[in-house]
Amino acid sequence: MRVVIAEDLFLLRDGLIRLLEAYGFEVAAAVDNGADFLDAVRSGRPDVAVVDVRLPPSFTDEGLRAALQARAELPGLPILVLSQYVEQLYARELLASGAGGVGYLLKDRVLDGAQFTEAVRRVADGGTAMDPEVIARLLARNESAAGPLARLSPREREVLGLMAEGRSNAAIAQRLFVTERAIAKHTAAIFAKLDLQPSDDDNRRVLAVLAHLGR
Amino acid sequence: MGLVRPTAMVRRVVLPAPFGPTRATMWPPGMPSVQSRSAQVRRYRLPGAADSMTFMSGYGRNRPGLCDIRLSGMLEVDLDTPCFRGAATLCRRPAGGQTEGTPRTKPLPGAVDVEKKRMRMNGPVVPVTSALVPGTRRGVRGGLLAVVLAPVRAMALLGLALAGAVLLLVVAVGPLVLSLLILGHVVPDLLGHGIATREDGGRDLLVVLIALACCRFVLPAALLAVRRLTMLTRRLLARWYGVTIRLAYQPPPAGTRPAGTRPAGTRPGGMPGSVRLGYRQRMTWLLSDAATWRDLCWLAVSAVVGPLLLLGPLVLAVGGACAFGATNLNGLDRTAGVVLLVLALGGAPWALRAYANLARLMLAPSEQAELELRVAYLAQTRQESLETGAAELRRIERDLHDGAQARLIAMGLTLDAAGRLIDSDQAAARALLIEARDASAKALAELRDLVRGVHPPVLADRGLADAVRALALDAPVRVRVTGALAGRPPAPVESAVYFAVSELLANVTKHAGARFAEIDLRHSSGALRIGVRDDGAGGADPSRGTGLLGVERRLAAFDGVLAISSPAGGPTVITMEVPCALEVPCASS
Repeated sequence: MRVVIAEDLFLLRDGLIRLLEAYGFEVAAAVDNGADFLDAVRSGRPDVAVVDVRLPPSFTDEGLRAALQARAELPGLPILVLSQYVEQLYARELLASGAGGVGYLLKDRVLDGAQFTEAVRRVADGGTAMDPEVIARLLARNESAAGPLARLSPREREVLGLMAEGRSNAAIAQRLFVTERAIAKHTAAIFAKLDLQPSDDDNRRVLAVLAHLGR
Repeated sequence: MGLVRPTAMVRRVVLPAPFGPTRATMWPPGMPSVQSRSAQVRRYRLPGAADSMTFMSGYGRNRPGLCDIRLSGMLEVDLDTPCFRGAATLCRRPAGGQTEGTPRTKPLPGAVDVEKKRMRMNGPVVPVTSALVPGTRRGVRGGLLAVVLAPVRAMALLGLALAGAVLLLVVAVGPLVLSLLILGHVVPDLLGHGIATREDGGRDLLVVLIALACCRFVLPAALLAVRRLTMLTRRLLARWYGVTIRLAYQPPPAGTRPAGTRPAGTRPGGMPGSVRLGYRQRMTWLLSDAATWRDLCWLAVSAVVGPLLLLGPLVLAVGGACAFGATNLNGLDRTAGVVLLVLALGGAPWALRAYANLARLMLAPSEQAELELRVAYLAQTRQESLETGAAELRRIERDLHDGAQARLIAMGLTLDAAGRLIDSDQAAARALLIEARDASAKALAELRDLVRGVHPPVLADRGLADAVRALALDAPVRVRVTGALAGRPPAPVESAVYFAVSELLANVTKHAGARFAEIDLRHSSGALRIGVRDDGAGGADPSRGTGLLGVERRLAAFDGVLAISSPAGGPTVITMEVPCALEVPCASS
């Protein structure tokens, strides 16, 4: 699986390359600014791109803008955006197109190599990977507003959170130490309570949940 | 104008029943104006008969008087921002016996127009101050009205002038008697006449005691009364003749308040940290203020000029009437009578206007006085912003010391232990390594929060409007953000306003119990304006708690102000204004 990395800090870039190569990815290019990143993805479309939000020369949200532009130019290009902090505003912008193949994670998640590379693979496969912190804030915001979320049981809310992060039923089941069938039952209940169209497609399901929460 | 910009002014909109608290003393129905002990109150008339709205400017914290300067041309509130519109529309009594009406979001037709329909407020931005400066009616009707009202006004002003004369006597009697006694006794003694034992020594002692008592007990109150009297004169002249005279009284020493005063919006005794001034402090405060002496001079002048100017036309009129009514009339007398009457009628408004102009000449602060106030204000805001900065640094230092630094030390210890165990007990070493990893994640999270509190990344990346949107997204209540900025305000202003909005949103969630909030951002007439409205319980009061006060201070460093309208029962509307220019971004993406 070919990856393009855009990260300006040498240590982190180096660490990412080593981590991804250790988990069997092929790093096609590793650049340190937005312009080079766009050149890299244009010259050879990678399977997935990992981009830092803050890049030179402006050191603001250059990486995010480059990522959005790359997705506009190459529709469906899977991109995982990394950042020192997560903002719902940016998450919304990434999800605005309504297409999958997007990830938005805190840089801290790199510390858990297995989980991180799983997220990269998920994004590459057209899924989503939203940082638990984004989801937690999204849920917190929905909870207080006596909405349909109040009707969910604590367990269902937990499942909803994991689902919104972009995990499949199997992954959720593994995480919560229950069977996949139990999770399927939970998701069906959640979708009924939130008035959402049930879907077998994991990705579409996640996007529907995120759209519902982000209203 | 445009020079003195004193500090924060609390402005609240008092809504009539059934939407807000209505107190008969503050809101007598049918009265053309409302008097308040705080400062200046103006009433606006909305298009409907039952609609009304009051802007009440109160005192900033402990600075009586300053707000009036602000009113005379500095503060603007954009009545067209949805936030204010909400408050204004809520004034409308529901028609046809409905008890509750949903607030309309469209602006009222014709918007808010001021008393006497002098000013139509239908533009996008209307400076309230310009509306607050009263004008006079012109034209034939105005002239006639002026003639008819002149005797009444003249009598009122005359009454004030005479009261002033009495007050002046009261103020002067103690010091005068004392100094006379000193001149009469001590000076001759010093000149070598020796201490003459006189028969009236006992009487002199009594006089001295009375004079001292006057100085001790009557003088401060009399000086404050002088102030009130001249304020009343100012107000009447402003209302009747459009002669606005700025106030430039020195604020009382910080943290104190003169007896019998309290800042607007605070309950009696509800001012934390304000101490009643002692006699010496009070006298120093009053006597060192040039404005006090100006007031006294004015009282002396008005006691002489007032009767002349105000009674002159009356005497003329009476003379004319007598001449007219005399029994043995000849043509000349009759003509003289008519001329006198016409002179009296035409001259009365003129004389009153002359009196008003004289008052302005004598009472208006000198440029130096205004500069002094400005300097005092700047010194105070500088002090406050330095203190805020220092406190922030201390907080950051403490957070780093207790948080990330401690975690890194713990992490080092854990790694050290893991290193020692790695050969003997691999399982335990692995557990320790996982622990160290978790500790590093926690340290990162803490650092992230710290950074967010110092300078929020979105603010750096995208500027104020998007940062406020991000705040709105993170708020636990629904928040709608309207408006936009064409460029970026200077970074310090951006940061101050961001944290102000953050604080206000926290209040909305914590205290107001609101379900919905609205933020409006815009830049107009050289100022950044942000309105925050919520549908919560209202009753926000900057004198309770430190949050709003902190916001006021932050903004004051940039000559910004915070205006609050928060009647019990809601809604709370807070408007912030910071004068600044926008930097138009260079063309990028």
